[in-house]
Amino acid sequence: MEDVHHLPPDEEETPTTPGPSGSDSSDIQEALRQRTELLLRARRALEREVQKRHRAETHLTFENVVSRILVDARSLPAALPSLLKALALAGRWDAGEYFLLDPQRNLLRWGGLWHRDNVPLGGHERESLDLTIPVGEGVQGRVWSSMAPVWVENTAEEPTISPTIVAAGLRSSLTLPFDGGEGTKGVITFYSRQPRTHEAEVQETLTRVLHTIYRLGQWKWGSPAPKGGITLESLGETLVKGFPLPALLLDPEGKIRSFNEAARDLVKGTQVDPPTLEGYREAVRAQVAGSGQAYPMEKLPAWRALRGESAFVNDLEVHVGDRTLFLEAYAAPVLGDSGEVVGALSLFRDVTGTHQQTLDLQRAKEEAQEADQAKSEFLSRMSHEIRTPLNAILGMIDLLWETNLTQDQQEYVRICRNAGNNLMSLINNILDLSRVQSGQLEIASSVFEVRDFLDKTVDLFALRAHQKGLELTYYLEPGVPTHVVGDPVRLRQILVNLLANAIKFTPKGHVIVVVKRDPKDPNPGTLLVSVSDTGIGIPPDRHEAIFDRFTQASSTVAVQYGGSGLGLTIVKRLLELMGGKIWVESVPGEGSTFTFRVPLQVPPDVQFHTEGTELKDIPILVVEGDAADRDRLTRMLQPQGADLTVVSTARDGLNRFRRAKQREAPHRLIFLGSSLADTSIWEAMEEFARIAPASSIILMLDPDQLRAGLPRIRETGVTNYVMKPISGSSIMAVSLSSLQSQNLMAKGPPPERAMPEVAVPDLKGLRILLVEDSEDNRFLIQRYLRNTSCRLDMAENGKVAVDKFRTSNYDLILMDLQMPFMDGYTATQTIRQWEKTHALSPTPIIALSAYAIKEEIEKSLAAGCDAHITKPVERAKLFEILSQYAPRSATP
Amino acid sequence: MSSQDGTRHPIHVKVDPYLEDLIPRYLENRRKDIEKLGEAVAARDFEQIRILGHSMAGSGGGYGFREITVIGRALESAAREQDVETIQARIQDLQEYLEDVVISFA
Repeated sequence: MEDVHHLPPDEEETPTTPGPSGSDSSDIQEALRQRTELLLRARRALEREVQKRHRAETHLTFENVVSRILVDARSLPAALPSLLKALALAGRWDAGEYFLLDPQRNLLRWGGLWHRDNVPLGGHERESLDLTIPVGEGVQGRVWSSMAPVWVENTAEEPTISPTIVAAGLRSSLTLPFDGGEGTKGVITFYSRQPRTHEAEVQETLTRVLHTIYRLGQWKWGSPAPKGGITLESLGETLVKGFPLPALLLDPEGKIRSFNEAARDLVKGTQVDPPTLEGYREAVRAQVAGSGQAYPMEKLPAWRALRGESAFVNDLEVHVGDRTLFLEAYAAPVLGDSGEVVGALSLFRDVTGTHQQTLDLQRAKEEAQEADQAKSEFLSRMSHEIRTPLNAILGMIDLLWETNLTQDQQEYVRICRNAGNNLMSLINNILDLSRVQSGQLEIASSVFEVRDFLDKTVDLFALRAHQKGLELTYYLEPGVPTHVVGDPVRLRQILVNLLANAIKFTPKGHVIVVVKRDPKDPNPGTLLVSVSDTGIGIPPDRHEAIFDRFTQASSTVAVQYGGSGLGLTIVKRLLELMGGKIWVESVPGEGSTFTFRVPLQVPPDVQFHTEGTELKDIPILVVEGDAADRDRLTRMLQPQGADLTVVSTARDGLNRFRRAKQREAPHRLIFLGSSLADTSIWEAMEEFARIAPASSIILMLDPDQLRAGLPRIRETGVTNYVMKPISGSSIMAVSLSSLQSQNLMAKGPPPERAMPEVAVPDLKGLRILLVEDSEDNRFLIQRYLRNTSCRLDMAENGKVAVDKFRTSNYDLILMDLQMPFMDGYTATQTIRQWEKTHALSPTPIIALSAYAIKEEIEKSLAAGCDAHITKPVERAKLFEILSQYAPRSATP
Repeated sequence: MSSQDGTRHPIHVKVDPYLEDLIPRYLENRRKDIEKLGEAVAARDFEQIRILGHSMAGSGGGYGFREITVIGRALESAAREQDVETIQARIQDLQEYLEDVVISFA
């Protein structure tokens, strides 16, 4: 709409953003303060508007729905079920039922029921079919005799309310009388599971709506009912009598047969009662709202109703004198005995107030957005300006740390460094948040391995947890996909935030990450990730607020632990961007569990983590003096299929291991407990380290022991330990990581350091066309293929490629996707088209793209590519894919 | 994170000897890229920056310079967001990388 760009009322106060350089700190502070204030003001205005709007809309929904149901229905009893549902939904009730008056016997007869799907009222419905309530008795009977609404706050305390209602969890009720004329009088009861009582506004609205029913009943079906159905005359007369909404009655020629008072009020100030719809349209200068265009006759609901259809519009703008009104119009045909259109009834509703609210709301929203945007830009610029010098400061502090310092000086530098790091992370958080808010942050999509992701993320905190003496582990439940498609960078950011909090707020005990599949979601990629700690916990009334900006569990927490209170806000926003959500369960003093649900995708050939096979047939030795811990370990390892040997002394353990080694089946894992009868764990450890690889030894220690024994542990090269009390997840995690590192050692050093030896495959004279705009990449691939038997032709864009393809023969095409002149998608499509028209069999086309983005891959496949590889292309990968397409004729 | 004055260290990169004679030219092209990027920033020609970043991203790792791929990607996305500060920071990174990189063929 065009007329919404009013100047904000406080335009002259809007501060100008200071330039990024040359402004001193007081200017910046002042500017920031003013921006914040502007933003807050806009936000308050927005909230007020939203509330006002919400109230207005509730009324609107009520009356609109009710009017439409009533106008469309053939009789009031037929309309009652729809009405009940409409009123119940609009009033946020969970169920409702109505009773009709039987005047002869002076009792109320049960008429019908509506309830939300999750309210178990099937039994109530069966029991109520023949239910009657004498007038004056029970809640409904009393309401009818007193004609006054009754609230019941607690249904369990009202003996006349059916036990089936109470059993269905319906806690409160409101009962009102209605009178729709002969045969349609009665009471209606609404039920709610939430406690509700004496909500004046709700009661008033319902009363008003039910009164409308009365008026409508009188008007549409009221006595004396015209014989042979409704006639235009009888309708017109009752209309004039006082239907509450503005209404017009038209005859089939479009002449206005009746005006009611309300309709006349609408055009007060015009001289004449125009005789036709068209005249009325002109008298009020009806326009399409906001456009200045006359409202087309054929779009007017009344006009359409005369052609047999019910119609509704909400964009009618009329001008009466110097007033501009916005109307909703609804019209329905009036049908004769044999269904012919004998006229039309058109109802109007003045929505000028709401319309104005919409405009105000829109303006408030725009202002708020502008202010927010300005704030985000400002913050992002400021953050950058602050980060540059801060980096220098931190760098200098690090250098200072390396010099010879007295103990006092060391302490000062340490504090300085901590404060600097905190400031840096605060700035990064603010920047992230402003990016999320200004919509600059995009969620990437790539395939990653779940266990590897968890390993690396949890590992970031291993040192911190260790320093605090906390047990930190993760556990992957069976059923979780091995690989998922999502944004690992942002997911890591989420998990890092949660882990950092968990460790920060946990003085002792453990922090455990559990990943499982969401059992309620058929998509196998939807995961539930929880981070549980045994920390200080969060009071119940703060469970929601902690996700708000700059909010922490309590002010004491803020003082004691520091931090900005931004981390969880970012987490929440990031999850919202990914379609997920986060919540917390916590008991103060016992710990917290943050759980987030995130819908990820799975790659096509996905596999799942399975239970009970991870340690299958792995020989494991447990040496533990404490019987309870021995049992616990057995319970944890046995179900995983491990081949267990459990002993209680070091001597026994060493003997068993030596024998197993002689049989050339040494135990792959050796769990060493701290309460051995015959020797200390340290001596046992050193003995074992002489005959077994250090990476197979796993110590089970108390935190105190760990601190005391750390030098000896390091000296023997043992790196695996778990904290007592042991948990299944920590035991599994340490077992697998130990096995993994043993496997790696067996394979030699990781391949990253040394250049991988790549065997040159026999490509059997494969004819390849490389389409690539980057000269560097053309050279590279040319070099890769230098000593192979293939023949390489090159094109620097899609256009050249298509030309070459038409005049030569190729076995395979490597196609870059983004190129000037003609991109890879178009070139591929052109080539496929050419093959089709010339009856050639399709040449394999491998797409080369810079990103493994799903859309790019799908788009390339849709264009006709056969496969896809990601740049930069490695030699081994290229050979692998070329080998697949080499001619198969001559096998070596 | 770019390092501060005086704290920069040589960056050792092992490159496949197979590619030895291609490397000088490849690095020379990246030095030319720095000039082109500077001009594009001055002209606010973000599309040109995006293309240069894209092509760095697609080639660096192939030659053994993973860092160039990383910088290229960052340039590409910063160009899309028209984030001049980040672009300048990444050009600076590239400059320093090219100055500090020490190649051994093994």
